[in-house]
Amino acid sequence: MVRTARANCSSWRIIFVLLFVLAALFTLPVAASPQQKNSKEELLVLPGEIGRSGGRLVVSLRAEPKTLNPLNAPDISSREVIGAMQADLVHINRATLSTEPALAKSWKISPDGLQYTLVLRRGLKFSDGSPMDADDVQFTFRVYLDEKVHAPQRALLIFDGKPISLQKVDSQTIVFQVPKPYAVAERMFDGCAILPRHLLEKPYKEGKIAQLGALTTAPNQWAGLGPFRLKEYVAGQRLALERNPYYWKTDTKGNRLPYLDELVFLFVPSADAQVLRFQSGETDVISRLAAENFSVLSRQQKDYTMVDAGPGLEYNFLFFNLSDPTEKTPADIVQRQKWFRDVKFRQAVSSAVDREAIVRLVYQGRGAALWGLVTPGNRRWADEKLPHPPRSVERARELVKEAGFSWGAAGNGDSWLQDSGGKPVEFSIITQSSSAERSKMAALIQDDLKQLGMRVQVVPLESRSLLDRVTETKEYDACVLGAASTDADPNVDINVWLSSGGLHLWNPSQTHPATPWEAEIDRLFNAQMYARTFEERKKLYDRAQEILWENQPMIFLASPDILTGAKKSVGNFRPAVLEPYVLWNVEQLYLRNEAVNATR
Amino acid sequence: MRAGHAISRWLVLLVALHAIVIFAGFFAPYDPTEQERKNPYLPPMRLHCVDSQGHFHLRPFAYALNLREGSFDQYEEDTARLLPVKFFVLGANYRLLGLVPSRWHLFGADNERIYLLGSDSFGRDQLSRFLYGGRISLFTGLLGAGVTLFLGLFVGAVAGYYGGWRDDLLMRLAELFLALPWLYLLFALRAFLPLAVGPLQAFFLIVAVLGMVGWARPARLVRGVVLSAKERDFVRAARGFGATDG
Repeated sequence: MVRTARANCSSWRIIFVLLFVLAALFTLPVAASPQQKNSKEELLVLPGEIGRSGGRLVVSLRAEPKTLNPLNAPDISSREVIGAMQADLVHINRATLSTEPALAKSWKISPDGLQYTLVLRRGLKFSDGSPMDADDVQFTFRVYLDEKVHAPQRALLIFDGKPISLQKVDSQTIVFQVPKPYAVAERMFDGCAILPRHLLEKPYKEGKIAQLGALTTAPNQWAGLGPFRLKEYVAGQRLALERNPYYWKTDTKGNRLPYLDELVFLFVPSADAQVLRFQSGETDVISRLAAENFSVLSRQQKDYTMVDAGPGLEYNFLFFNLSDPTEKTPADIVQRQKWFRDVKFRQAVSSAVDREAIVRLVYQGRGAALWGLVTPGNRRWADEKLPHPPRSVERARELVKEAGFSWGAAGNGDSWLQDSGGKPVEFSIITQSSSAERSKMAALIQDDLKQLGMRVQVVPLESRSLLDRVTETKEYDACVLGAASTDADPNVDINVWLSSGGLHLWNPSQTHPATPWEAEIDRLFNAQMYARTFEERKKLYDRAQEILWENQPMIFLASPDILTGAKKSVGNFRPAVLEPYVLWNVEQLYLRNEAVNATR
Repeated sequence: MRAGHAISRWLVLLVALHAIVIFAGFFAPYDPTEQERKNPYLPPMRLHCVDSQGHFHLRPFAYALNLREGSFDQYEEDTARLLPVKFFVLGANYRLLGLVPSRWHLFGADNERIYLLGSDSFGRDQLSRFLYGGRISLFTGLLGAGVTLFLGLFVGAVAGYYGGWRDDLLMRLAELFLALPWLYLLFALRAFLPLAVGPLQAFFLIVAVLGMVGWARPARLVRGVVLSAKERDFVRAARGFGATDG
């Protein structure tokens, strides 16, 4: 009797637990999915407008993607395509800029901040239908961390010279071990696409994994966890992706995403041709618009939804060559570097540059003037205390005078600046010939500096030879360039901030910090990486931004708005300021009624 | 006679065009590099003689332009602000023929700038840029052709007249020049030059390059002409009487 009573008691307990689990399931939005009822899949439910299934969305790319392989995708086009085909464990929501569960339904951080326990969704499948589990995750990170593969993601997985390590607990659970408590370590998972072990383990062992992923790959030889999978590639024309039927997201009504049947990338080589294709109706959405084209399209508001998403994370800047001269550096550059090394000279240039004019004339007002590396688009991290002095030629004149420069009269009544040795201040600014915007900025700066008495020449160069001059031969005086942060978090710009970084452009890849202030920035930046709270990090990062401002190694100019557009028929069109601006929510994009019928 | 007349008419036009661009500093109302940043993308200003009230003005005038609300490149005429055209005004510094400093310009307006051909994206006067730019476009061609002709004449005449090893050497050189892939050679040439080349150096560089590229063909032509001419009777007669090339 006692036993049965006990048995009863335990069975009650089981029922109670079951009820509790059921209740819990119902409160979870996942449980609302009807497809959930007869499968063990744990799907992610996305809030948002309910769309219509079917149809094809056509997007233009400026260049053919180089590869489909997330392990070596340096170009924008490849990243855009891979973004639609792959998924990561934890994802940065492009709209909110905060991290969200993706393939991992949850993660837990140990109190010491060293252990991240990630739990995978149940029932995940690759786009070819084979199941995905912790083994794939383990394989993926083994590949990313392998030095021989040269994956760009590797740098983000190394902390203080030590790589992260991971351990599989069971088929759903993985524990990541970070060598040092690291601020927002879960952000490192964004961009680490989970690779299909069943397809890639053999090529990896043969050392061929980095060469895989050519566009000509047969569709059944390639798989991912993203909303779309490879369908067809026509060289020089287009790349077609089709709906991944095993995708792991649904809408709130339980319809499995993505809505679209097909996503087609057309290769359209120039910005103007992209606009023409969009106007003729061949493409449905357009991003990376120049301000002129945006204004033209905005006049046809009834056909298009044109969205100015505000300043993005792109920053354009002028910098001087502050690298250490070698025996190969031409003597005239070494001579001019004496001026550039004077902080007053750089501050004077900064003060003479008319940033408002750049925003108005280069971006037609669709942009923001910049005084620091963090753009106004990145509200969370921009330092509000950073001074925003207006343009002042008088202040600039005072500064160069303090630095020992003076003005000598030229024959026709103009006066030219000369240094204390009587040498006229003449230098050249190199810029990318492919970027009309940056060439314009350089032309404006040229005129601004003429008012200080500096003779400046603008030399447009092809991008590769420009980067070669800046990072390798260091044969240049000054350069106008731009870059875009890939995430709102400061850590992604580590290569710009640290003196050892390759994108520390004014003096890249230093073995020791060349100046005390660079050493201080290194210290602050490293400290913020390992600080635990946002407030603490923000304080350190603000200080680094202020030191950058005081020393002006980079003279920040302006940040363009993210300008995008779509046909009125495209639903859920919500461009973000982070790449991919338009396709970040491609699984939710849909074509309204008429458009679906038209394409069928 | 008639053909000669037509040619002389065109010649006058060409000389006039060259004269205008040589004296660009005087004919252009403004400095071609000066940016008036509040006025980008201006359309050409139209000259009027009758104002909006129907009054006749002897002195032609243009209306100042106002930016249309909410746009960056759409302007409309402000009929309240007249800009009468003034002749022989003082303005930006320049050097006549690159030598004589001067501030006189053919025309201009009093308070605001007048843009007969509009302005570019930096608010620079298109007419002034057009005239200054015309210098380079017109004179690189002219000087380039001059250099070509001079070299071609010289080489062709020497080769044709003397013949022998001089002819062989010069004509093989000409063939070599004809066979060179010029585009790539120019790229290579650019790589050897310093990064920033001043406008004047660039001008002479273009002239030199144009001259260097083109001399081989006229040289061959001239050589043929000289070859046939040196065998003609009057030349032979002159030689018979003791004329020499020395």
